[in-house]
Amino acid sequence: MSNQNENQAISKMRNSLHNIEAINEKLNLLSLNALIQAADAGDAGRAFAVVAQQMQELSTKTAESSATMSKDIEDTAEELARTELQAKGTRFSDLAHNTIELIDRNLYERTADARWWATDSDLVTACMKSDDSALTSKASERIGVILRNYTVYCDIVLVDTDGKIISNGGGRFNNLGEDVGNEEWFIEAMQTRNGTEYHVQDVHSSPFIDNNLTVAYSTAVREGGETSGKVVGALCVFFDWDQAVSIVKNVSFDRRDRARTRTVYFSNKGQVIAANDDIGVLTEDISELGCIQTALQGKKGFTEEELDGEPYLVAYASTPGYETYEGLGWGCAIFYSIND
Amino acid sequence: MSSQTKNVSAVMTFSIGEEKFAFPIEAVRLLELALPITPISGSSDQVLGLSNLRGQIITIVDLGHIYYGSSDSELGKNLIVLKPTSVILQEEMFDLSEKITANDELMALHVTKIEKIIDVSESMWSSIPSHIEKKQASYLMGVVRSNGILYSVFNPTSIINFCNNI
Repeated sequence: MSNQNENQAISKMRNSLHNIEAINEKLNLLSLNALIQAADAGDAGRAFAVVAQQMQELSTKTAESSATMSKDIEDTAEELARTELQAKGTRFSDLAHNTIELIDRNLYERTADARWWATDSDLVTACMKSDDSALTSKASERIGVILRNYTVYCDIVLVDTDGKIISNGGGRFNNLGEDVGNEEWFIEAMQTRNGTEYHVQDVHSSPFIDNNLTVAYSTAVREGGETSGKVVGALCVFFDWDQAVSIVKNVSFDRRDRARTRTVYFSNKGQVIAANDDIGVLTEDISELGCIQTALQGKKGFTEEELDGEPYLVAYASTPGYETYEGLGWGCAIFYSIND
Repeated sequence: MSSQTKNVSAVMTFSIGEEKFAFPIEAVRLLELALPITPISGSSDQVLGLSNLRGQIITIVDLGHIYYGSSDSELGKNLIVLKPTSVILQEEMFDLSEKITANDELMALHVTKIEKIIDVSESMWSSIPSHIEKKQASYLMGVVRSNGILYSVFNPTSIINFCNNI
């Protein structure tokens, strides 16, 4: 029997019991009125009073049975609600796990993209001869082709060793010539030891893509595209964070659950980094919740928490990583309002 | 304790809010589930309005309002329909005021929930506790103890006199 059917069955039982109680209330009044009439009739009403008394005893027993039945129904309803909540918790923690895994798989591919494209001959050549505008333009054209086929990026930029953007995806963001020498992703890319290494900068707002939110994956561009070649520049791919937001907005809840549910990604510090309601992104800290602390220890599960005085079922899971990508220690939490 | 308690053979128990009360059945015509009430403009606060009881018009009075001096926002679910004054005067069970003229009008008291009828004996009666306010005590004829529960028993004379003067 589905949860909805169970609730309907309980509701029917409550209605039936309510009808019995209403009928019994009338029976009780009837017996009391009979007793009053019997008392008024004096000795003549004595036999009638016996019948009325028995009616009242029946009414009392019915009321006692109704009370027992009512308690049984409410106990059963409570048990069903608890079982339903347990099942929901298990399902939601699986959903939280799938949701965080989905972004991890996606981002694993981004690490591969950055390292692969950093060996592209047009890009390597442009870095080696960054003063040659024909070569940097060709690299931009090449990046443009990539961008048109990979919609998960805001932009891809090629940077010379001085930290100046020499090529980009063309058009959407006006960042050519910008100095990125002090950016974390550039500094770390230049410090990679070989072509297998990369750097990832956690979710942030980047001025080089009109302050859109992004996760930046970067690596060094090496002479000849060789794994151990001399560093001649850096490549950075700006992952479009709207892709992650889209995932948390499209978790597969049914219509009723969706209206009562908030889904968020949180960082390894417990900060909200994406939310299906777009609230609290990079400003809301949920690290104080016990369940988030548990999730940050790499655990998956669910618990009941009181938030702003309201009871919530909170399901959580932390990043499992994917293949060689360990992830950034993120987690996913699903907050389900227990009350309607 | 009123001398009229000797005329009381049984009381009908009920609640007003959370408190337990009783009414001598000698003054009760019948008991009813609450009926739809039509308010009467200009009537006193204790009068809830008129109801149609199987074709007969009855006046509905809020007993809680009479006793406590203010009404509970949530109305009860039962009515105690009193015997008409003509019958009570004829039976001479209770000393109604001389000012009251015998009539056949029906009046019902709105209460939270009617419970049961208890046969009473002289030994079950006790005096009205001193902590009860004088005005409230004036509506009672005594207190009946049954199965460990104390019921404040309304004095039909006081209630009927009050109802006939509002």
